[in-house]
Amino acid sequence: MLLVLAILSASTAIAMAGTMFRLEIGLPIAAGTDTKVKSVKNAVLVVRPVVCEDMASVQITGTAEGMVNGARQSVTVKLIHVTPDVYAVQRQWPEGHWVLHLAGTCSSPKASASTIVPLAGTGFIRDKTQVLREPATRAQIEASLKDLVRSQS
Amino acid sequence: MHVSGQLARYCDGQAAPEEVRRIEAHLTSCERCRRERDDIRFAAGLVRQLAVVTAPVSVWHAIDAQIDAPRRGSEQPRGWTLAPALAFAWVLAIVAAGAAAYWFANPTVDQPWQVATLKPATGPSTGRLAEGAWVETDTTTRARITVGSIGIVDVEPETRVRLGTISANEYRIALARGTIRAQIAAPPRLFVVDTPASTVVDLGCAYTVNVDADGRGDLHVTEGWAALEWKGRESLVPAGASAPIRPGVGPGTPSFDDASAGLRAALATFDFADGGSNALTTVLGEARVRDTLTLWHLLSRAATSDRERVYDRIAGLASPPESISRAKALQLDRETLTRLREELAWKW
Repeated sequence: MLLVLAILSASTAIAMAGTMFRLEIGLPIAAGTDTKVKSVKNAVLVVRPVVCEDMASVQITGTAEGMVNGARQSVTVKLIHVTPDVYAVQRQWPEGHWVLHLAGTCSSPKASASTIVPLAGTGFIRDKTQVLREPATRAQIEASLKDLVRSQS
Repeated sequence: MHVSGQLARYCDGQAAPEEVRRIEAHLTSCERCRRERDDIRFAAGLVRQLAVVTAPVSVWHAIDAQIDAPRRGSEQPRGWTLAPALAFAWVLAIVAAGAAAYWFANPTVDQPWQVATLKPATGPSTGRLAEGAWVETDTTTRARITVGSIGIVDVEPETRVRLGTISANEYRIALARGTIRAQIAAPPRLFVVDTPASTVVDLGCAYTVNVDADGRGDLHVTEGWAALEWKGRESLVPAGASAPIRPGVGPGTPSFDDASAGLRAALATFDFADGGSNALTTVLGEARVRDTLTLWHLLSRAATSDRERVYDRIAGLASPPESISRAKALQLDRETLTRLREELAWKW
């Protein structure tokens, strides 16, 4: 019985996942080809909120969390509007190992979401990107950075 | 000391003789000011292409009536209460006078293309060329074409490019053979390159396009998007992807450069060797999430009987949102296909 409940619960969570507020990450080309898309040179990625009834209320902030020559660094990231619902992130941190932490809030329904994106070269590592339906914890960010440093060393 | 502040007056032919001598002496030794002068002349060339519209007869009637009418009460201030028609006529007159001034003062606007050539034997040289002129490089020569203020086109050795029209909404060149590299920062569709079997339309990007003597070639995009168009067939190519160009066929189906060799070979067979369903089966089998770029194009290129399995493979790989109608996608509804592509792009 417990097993059935667990399976049902997991299935429901998976089904719900696509209908909950979250931040979606894409290559810069995901911003599209429309004439209204603002061109942003050297963007690392673009991000958009999904499943929020009041898109105008969405707030997204970001920090780049990194290791540079063995020292821990944190850089507040500036996001650039490329369309009303899509933001671009340009590289704005020095050479080193970096993960990008983006956090967003939606007012209706009231929800928070975040994403932790390991960066590599001029882009990001999609397979290791974590899309979270809640604010990321400090431990999650540090673990992602540690994993990145290990894989790039 | 630079002469930026005097260049507009100089280009307008309004500078005094002594000032002209001083500016021209400075220009001979200052690359920066020469570039500014060229920019001003280029902009003037664009202004010159604005049509001078003749005012409708009704406007002149209104002006006549205004002149003949008895002066109104003295409480009405003069100057800022011109009838709209009269103000309109003044604007027309000013535009016409400005266009005429540029026409006579700037003979070089008949040569709107700025081209720099680098020959190892003689070093760099720059000049202006007219619409219709050819830029041709040999085995050791390179050239750079300045596309107004929106970008540059680097012309590789052994390349032949014809400079086309420039207008307010289009810069057009033609690549007869060889290789060019374009970097454009402008709204989509402003810069266009004709090749013998496709037209490359810039959608805000950087790309390389090459064509051989038979008209065979490739488009490789390194930033943003570009479109290949030919007789109603269109390939949309994003950064990191390429699409072939073949004479008699036009643009092939784009694929990402990291797609499997099997997928690329089957795609070439599908596009150019009547590969049909068999080749399509291989493409579908080899496709990853990222290859939905290729599958999206195949939706409208595969036989009607194959369309469902193409869509279902896309759905299996990338789970499009439920708001995108499968039925409409299979009917090739344009709006639905556009939405589908935009959603798929977030998975690439």
